[in-house]
Amino acid sequence: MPAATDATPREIHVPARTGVAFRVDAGTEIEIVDLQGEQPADFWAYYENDLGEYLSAPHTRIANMKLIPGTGDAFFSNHRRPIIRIVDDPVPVHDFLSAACDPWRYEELGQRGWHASCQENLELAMKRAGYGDVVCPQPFNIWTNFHLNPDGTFEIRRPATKAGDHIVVRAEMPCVIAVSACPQDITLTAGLNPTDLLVRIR
Amino acid sequence: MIPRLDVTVPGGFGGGWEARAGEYITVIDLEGEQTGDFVAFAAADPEEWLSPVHCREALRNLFVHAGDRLVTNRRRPILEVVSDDVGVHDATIPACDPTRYAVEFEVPGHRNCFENMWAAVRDRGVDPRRFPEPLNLFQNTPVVGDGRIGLTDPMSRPGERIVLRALIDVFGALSPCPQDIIPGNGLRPSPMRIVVGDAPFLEGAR
Repeated sequence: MPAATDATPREIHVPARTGVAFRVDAGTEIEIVDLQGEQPADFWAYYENDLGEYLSAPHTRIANMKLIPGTGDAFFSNHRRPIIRIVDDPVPVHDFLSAACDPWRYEELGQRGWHASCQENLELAMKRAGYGDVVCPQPFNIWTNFHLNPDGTFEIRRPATKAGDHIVVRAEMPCVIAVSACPQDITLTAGLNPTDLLVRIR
Repeated sequence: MIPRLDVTVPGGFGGGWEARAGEYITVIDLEGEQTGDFVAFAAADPEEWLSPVHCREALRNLFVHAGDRLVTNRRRPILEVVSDDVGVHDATIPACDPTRYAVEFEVPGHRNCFENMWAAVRDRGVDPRRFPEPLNLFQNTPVVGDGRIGLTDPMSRPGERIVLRALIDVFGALSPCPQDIIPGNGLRPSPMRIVVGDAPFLEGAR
């Protein structure tokens, strides 16, 4: 387990198509900035003392009785505890129904050979940060715009963000957080142009 | 049709099942208004399983319908929905588990779908820390507008069923949900029957 980092505010630049993992104390705010616009951020959170406890989409949906949390709502772990909470969300157009993109997704889309994916970004970032193998639960797909129609069908649209748009969440327990700048360049998910993200921790 | 496997699972308990590629899996709500939490794993590798989250993306739909080909966490087809008497199932909420009853209803030790399903597949090398989200057969969680979801009793009547076809060799578990505190099973857990064979099992169908 890596040593706890200090509690001073810090920034992490996340280059396009890559991911990052870092630990935070309970109460820490994490701001994610879409530097150039139309860029989704896949987001995962794990309880620091047991990486088998993580932000769980199904548990979050039943806890809030909503398909997706709004400002002030918490996301819940698979042990039904609040793990993060949305503090400030000026562009509240996100997806909370879909899996991270993964090698099989790109194969399905006709990609030949390797393509970066959010699942691989998570796995690499967690390994690099010293946390080893982790499960890849369904992420909170920040700014992914899978528009849900009233009949239950949905469609992929471009993200609604412009350069500089942000979201702020707060850790409700000591967490390991991972963020992936989604490398999707075949569908409209990242506006056909994957770009960088900035993470501010305070 | 002579069933290769025919199991009646008591309400609130769990049962295991398996099917070879091409076989039909018929799940029957014997007494009506019963949710059945359902998981399926690839026989060749229990790290590959029926995944509601990947199904939503593959089907571009929040719900599951007759004719759909359901996929795994590796985006491979695993089961096809052949016929469906009810047409209302849930693929968005978790299995009830020990914390659901202990923390939210203050009933520690209550039977629950997670432990029911885990017990039914534990001998097959499934890791409980990597346990899939269930497909909740007949569970009625309507999206009631503005993204809010409801939680109410199933629409299924006695004898109504869903028929799936295995597209690869599979095994899995079924848990007729033990929830008896809030709506979900008509407040009365009741038995379900699972039949596997070379054709849909239609005896007693409505």
